[in-house]
Amino acid sequence: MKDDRPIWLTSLAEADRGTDAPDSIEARLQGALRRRRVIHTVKRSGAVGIVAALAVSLWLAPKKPVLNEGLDPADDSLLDAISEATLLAPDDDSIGEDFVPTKLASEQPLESVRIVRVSLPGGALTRYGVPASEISANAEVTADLLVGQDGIARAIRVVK
Amino acid sequence: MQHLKLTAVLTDIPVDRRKIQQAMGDLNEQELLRRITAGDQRAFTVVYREWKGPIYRFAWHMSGNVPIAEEVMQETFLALMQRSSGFDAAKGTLGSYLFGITRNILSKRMRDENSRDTLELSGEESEAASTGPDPWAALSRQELIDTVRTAVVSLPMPYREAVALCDLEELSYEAAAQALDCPVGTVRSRLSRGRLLLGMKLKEFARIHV
Repeated sequence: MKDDRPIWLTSLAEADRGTDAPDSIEARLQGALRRRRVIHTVKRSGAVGIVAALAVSLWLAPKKPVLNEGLDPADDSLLDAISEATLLAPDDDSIGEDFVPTKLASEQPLESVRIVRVSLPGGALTRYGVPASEISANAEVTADLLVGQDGIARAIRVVK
Repeated sequence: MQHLKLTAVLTDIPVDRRKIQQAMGDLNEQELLRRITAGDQRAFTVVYREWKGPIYRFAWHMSGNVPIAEEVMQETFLALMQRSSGFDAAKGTLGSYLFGITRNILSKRMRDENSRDTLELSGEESEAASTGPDPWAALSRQELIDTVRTAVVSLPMPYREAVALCDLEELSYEAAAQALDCPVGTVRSRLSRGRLLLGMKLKEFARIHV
């Protein structure tokens, strides 16, 4: 576009170009987003998912996992893993939902994850923290688990 | 537990932050906003860091007040988190959408305020504004910048919006029209009028102070 601005407007635009918002605003907004994410996660996971998630994790673990419910289940490395899993996992129209963090945590930092596809009864899925009001408790459901290098399932999503 | 059946191991994924940031940058705007609504911090950071400067400056040029600009910018991104579903990529860019939210928030704040200056142009004034000595020549650079910034804030809202978006944030007429929810021709005419008003104000300032 041809620049037909008066020179005094060009000067003001140039002078103010580097002006930016203070970092404190980003910190406040990130805090608001974290609260939003927790609400979103709690809505989708549900507290009773702990029991079923623990059972699946024990079944998958090569050795007995160390559990620590005091850790933040939605820590940064898990969110990184979920983001990347969502981006890199096979593109499949049948996948209905995003990964939902389970309530399990581990003392071991998350270094790598494996997406494991499993089938399980719909009832177990509900206990896992996935809203499954339309899925019969006895129906077999396919789901993807995000399993850490320690064998603990950190997140789950339904494959419809 | 006996019902659980392993059907496949799909893939191994190393956790790599840089790769994720890069991948986020490759996502389209609609997908980024969908993720923000779900509370995705990385998606939010990508959008925020790209647009925080322009949105803050727009709020500042419109209000002429730093604390108000900060508040308006914060409200804009909070609104984005809450109603990002309102964005339609077919209707415009994310930038225009964000400027539109900012504009609505500013309008709400200023609704009860009296216009700081209701100066309108007659044909003769328009003529006078476009001719005569250039105020730039009489003022120092910093004086001029401060004076122009003050003059922009004193413009009636429709002209101020057009000048702030097109001349200061350098949006195209089309993008500004999307943000202002009006035809491109309206943006052009408001911009032209805004520039004329500013020219008059600067000449007046130069006459009094120089």
